Amino acid sequence: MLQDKEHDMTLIRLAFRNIFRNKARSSLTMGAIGFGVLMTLLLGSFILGLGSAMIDDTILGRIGALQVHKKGYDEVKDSQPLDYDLPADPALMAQIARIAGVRAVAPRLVFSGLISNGSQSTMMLAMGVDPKAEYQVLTTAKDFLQGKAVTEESKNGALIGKDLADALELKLGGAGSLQAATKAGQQNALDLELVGTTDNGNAFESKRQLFVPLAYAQELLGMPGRLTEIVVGVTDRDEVEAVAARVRQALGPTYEVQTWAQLRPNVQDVVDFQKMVLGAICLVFLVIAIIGVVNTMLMSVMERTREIGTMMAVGVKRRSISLMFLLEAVAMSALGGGLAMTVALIAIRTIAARGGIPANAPGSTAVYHIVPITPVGLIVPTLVATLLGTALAGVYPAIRASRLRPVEALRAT
Amino acid sequence: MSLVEIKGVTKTYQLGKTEVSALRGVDLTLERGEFTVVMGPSGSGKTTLLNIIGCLDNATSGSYKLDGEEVGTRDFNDLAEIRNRKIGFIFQSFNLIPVLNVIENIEFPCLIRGENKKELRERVQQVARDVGLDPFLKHKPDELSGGQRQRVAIARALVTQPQLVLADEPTANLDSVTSDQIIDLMLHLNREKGVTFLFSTHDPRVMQHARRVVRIQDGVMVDGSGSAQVEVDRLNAAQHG
Ligand SMILES: Nc1ncnc2c1ncn2[C@@H]1O[C@H](COP(=O)(O)OP(=O)(O)O)[C@@H](O)[C@H]1O
Ligand SMILES: [Mg+2]
Repeated sequence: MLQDKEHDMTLIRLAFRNIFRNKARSSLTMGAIGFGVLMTLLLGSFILGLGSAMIDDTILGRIGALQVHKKGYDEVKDSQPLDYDLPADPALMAQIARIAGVRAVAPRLVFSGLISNGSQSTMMLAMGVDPKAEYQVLTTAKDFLQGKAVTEESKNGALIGKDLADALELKLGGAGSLQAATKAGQQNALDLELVGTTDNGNAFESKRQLFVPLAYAQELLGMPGRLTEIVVGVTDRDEVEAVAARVRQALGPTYEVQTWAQLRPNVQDVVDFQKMVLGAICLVFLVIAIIGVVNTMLMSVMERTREIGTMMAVGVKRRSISLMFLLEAVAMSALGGGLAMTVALIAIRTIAARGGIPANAPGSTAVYHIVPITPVGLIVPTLVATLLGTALAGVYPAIRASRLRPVEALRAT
Repeated sequence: MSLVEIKGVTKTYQLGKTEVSALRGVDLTLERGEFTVVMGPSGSGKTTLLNIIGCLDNATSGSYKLDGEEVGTRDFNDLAEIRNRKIGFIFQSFNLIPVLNVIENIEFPCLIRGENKKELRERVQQVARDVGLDPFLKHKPDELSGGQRQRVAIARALVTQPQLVLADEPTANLDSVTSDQIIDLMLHLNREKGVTFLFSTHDPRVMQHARRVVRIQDGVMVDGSGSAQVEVDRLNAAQHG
């Protein structure tokens, strides 16, 4: 470290033994450090797990990782989405599917209109989907299903948001109808049969959303062989930007390609906000640990003043005195933090192995499982912050110890 | 060349606004192999003098040559080296490192200057034997009696093979029997191993053992040339009449 092996080993030995000298005080300090590490990892693993679940839910349960539309669709999607339609071209779908990082693609025809139970009708937002492709992209979309999903067999079988079905008192197997304006502008209506309801915890979607077979939508809207949206699943969520860039490159300027984060900026915002809150909480723990270390070390220096004088008398240099106290601070954090990290990781692994803990959005019956995760991005900063923070906390006491004048230190009681 | 040459050394402590003159012009010369006792009442400046000789503190004025070298102007690290290489310390309150056992306390000054632990072992055990600590090598200081602790301190002072061992009232915290044993031990080490001792005390009894006694009072040497026997006679005379 600073000098030769025997010198350093001697200081390290002293540092460790001195920790166990005042067991109560050291335990308290190491406890504070350990508690901080434990809470950081536990809280962190759940918050990151929650964020990850939210992103997965968005990507795998709702909108896909990427969406491809005709250029200009995004600006008019709330007024005239049908004007920006695309051909249902198997070659185009295959071209996207071949791009590196793309896992699956599915066509959609998105429209709005009225759903009626024969006596009442209400607004809805519908998606015509190709069930086989759709559920390959959205692998968890069927998780909150009652009854059946959209299938190829039932030409007019609709999957409806639970609240919407309840509002219209539509039961599974019950009949209703959809009414919408065709692309040409005429009103058109088709019968439907309720094959399933879904409640994924999103109030708006539960109240307004509806899925029908793609062919049904094309017929209702007078748009045979057309679609408005292609949803894309990716193999690696973290690669989504790169995949988006490749898709953009491949399709050229007549298409627009958006990532889930662009389509649902609020999800990304929530995830980022959670991380910020986590960071702030952990900072508080770190500050508490640092104060504990400073306090403990200052008390140690005071109690050991004469010993420091003795060490100086037999020839220990100032640098070595401060190094000894620094080592002591770091050793305390390594012991307290290391133990806490072990406990935390075992606890997290155990919880994760049991499938996480269930949680549901307020007012929803949809139950998600938050599986805690411990990415390197959580563990390494925690470790580094703990060691650096406590080392920093040791600096002032260490300097105080090294600045003592030997004669005065030796006269201390 | 004498081992220690002190000329006109003064030491003034600043106590708030008042100045305390602990040493007011001390001359002292120590030769190699001597066993010298500094005698003086409490507050007379013994510790101050030993601290300066031990390079733990600087004199306010005057000159100090250790082993022919002026040490007054060195910085902390240089002085730490000098202390480590040339001087051994024995304190009134033993000053062992409580978390280290006997062996570890003894070898400590050698380890921090980088001596190899294995190569040291032989010497450390020899020194421990010399001071009669053989059976206690693994004991921690708090498991030892006062006399045993002071033996550890003596061993720690000797293990670096210093040119000078400073013992500041090393028997003040010991009972008279143990005191005698410790003094005998130091005298023995002086005689057999040629270790140079400077020993401070305010206990007249101790002087019976000394070869050379210097007397200090109020920061000045009262009598730097007296032999032990002269001193004992003088004290006896003073006590009896
Ligand atoms: N650090 C100090 N600050 C102020 N006065 C001191 C200090 N050290 C010693 N003194 C004073 O110097 C004088 C000599 O002290 P000291 O050398 O300790 O004497 P002794 O060891 O003979 O008892 C005493 O009057 C003491 O109060
Ligand atoms: Mg004294």
